[in-house]
Amino acid sequence: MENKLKNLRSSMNHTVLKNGRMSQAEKKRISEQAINKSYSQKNKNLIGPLLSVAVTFVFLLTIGSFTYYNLFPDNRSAETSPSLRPADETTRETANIASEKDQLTQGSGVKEWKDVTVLEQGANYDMPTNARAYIASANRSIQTKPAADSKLTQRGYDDMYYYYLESMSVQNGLNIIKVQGTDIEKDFNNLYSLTIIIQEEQGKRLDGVNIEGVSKFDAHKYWKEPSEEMSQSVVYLQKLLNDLDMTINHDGKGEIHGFSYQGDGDKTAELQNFIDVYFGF
Amino acid sequence: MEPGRRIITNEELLEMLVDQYSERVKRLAYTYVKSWQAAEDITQEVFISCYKNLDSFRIESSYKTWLFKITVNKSKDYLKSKWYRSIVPFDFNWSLFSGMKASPEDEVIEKNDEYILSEKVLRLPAKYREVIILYYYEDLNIREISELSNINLDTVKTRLRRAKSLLRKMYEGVELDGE
Repeated sequence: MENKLKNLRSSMNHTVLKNGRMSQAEKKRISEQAINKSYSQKNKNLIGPLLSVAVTFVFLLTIGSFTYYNLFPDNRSAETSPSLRPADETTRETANIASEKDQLTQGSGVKEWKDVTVLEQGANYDMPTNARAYIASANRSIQTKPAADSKLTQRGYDDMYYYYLESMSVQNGLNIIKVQGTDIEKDFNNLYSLTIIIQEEQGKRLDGVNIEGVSKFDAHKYWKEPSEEMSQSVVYLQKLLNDLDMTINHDGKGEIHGFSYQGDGDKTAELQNFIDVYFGF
Repeated sequence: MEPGRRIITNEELLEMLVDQYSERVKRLAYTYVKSWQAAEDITQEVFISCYKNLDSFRIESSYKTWLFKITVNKSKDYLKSKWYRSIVPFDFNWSLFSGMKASPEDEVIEKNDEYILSEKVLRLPAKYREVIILYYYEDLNIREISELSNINLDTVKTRLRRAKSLLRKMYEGVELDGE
């Protein structure tokens, strides 16, 4: 993929962007029009448009006030009434909204975060649909080991393929679950990046492997061994999910490995370096 | 002033910039708006804006990134405009008409790897397409992209990674379909 993208400019210029070529005449026309239009715009008289906006505004104001005072005469008496009931209700409503918002937002400063997941109406999700429950569930899944009697193991797939499938499930979940907050977003981004590394490295296991004539049920037996980066990413993914779960669901209590920004971990730089070096930026 | 050197006028500078960057500006605009007519209009607007602000241009950025920034902003404004939202423009596909087939050259292009990659990049969601184009097509670095598009540095990195992941998935989809 990286090699293909390195030649993106020439690829696009030869194909979908080939109509972007410009003749010398077209370039000359652009220069001339830029100079001419700049002059005409600089000398533009703004009185006309301003007057037009002012007249429209006065007209709408007149019509609006006429409609208000003639069609809703009761409003005036309501406004002058000594009763403060409607105002009280408004205050109460505002207070309710504020307290609901307080419940959604947790922590303060860079630790402040909120769940901003937006679900599609009518869609069915086979996963928890809020950030806290999702992280707890993803953590449980990624910490499990493939059972000896599972279909994957019986068919000869190795553990790393099991973790690849789990990490793809995390990636799909992270496409739905969204959070807002300085540090927690960094953790979510790192989780996503780790799943991409695992995905890329799983792809490399198949690169250059000749499985011609091999049954697709046996193809995995010819895969290359998982790379060091893949194994390390799985470990980091497990530890980061654990740390994040402990931080947002258990008040930071429990075994912590130090990889979460939200949890003020002392090994965040190590993980960040691993990810940045892998991607080269 | 050094002997033998002369300060060029704004008009001469504009001509040089148009000569050097107009094609890149037009192509960059196209990757946002996906209409050659709109891309051409945006190119014209970019250079009008460029000429008007040449005196206030600060040397901290290059002319290239400055022009790209104007292009990105104008393209996004166009996509947000009421006109665009009410009448979605499109480039007419003449080959849909019977008897008006694409040229043999176009047919060959559509089957090659370069076309497949380019078409997939254009099909990416806007926020991912933007970073892929600026990083790989325009050869800007992460910091330049962050400044140019007013997106946080870490967000640029994340979008770039996700964009590549999406492209890979698109390729996998093609292979699966082909089975």
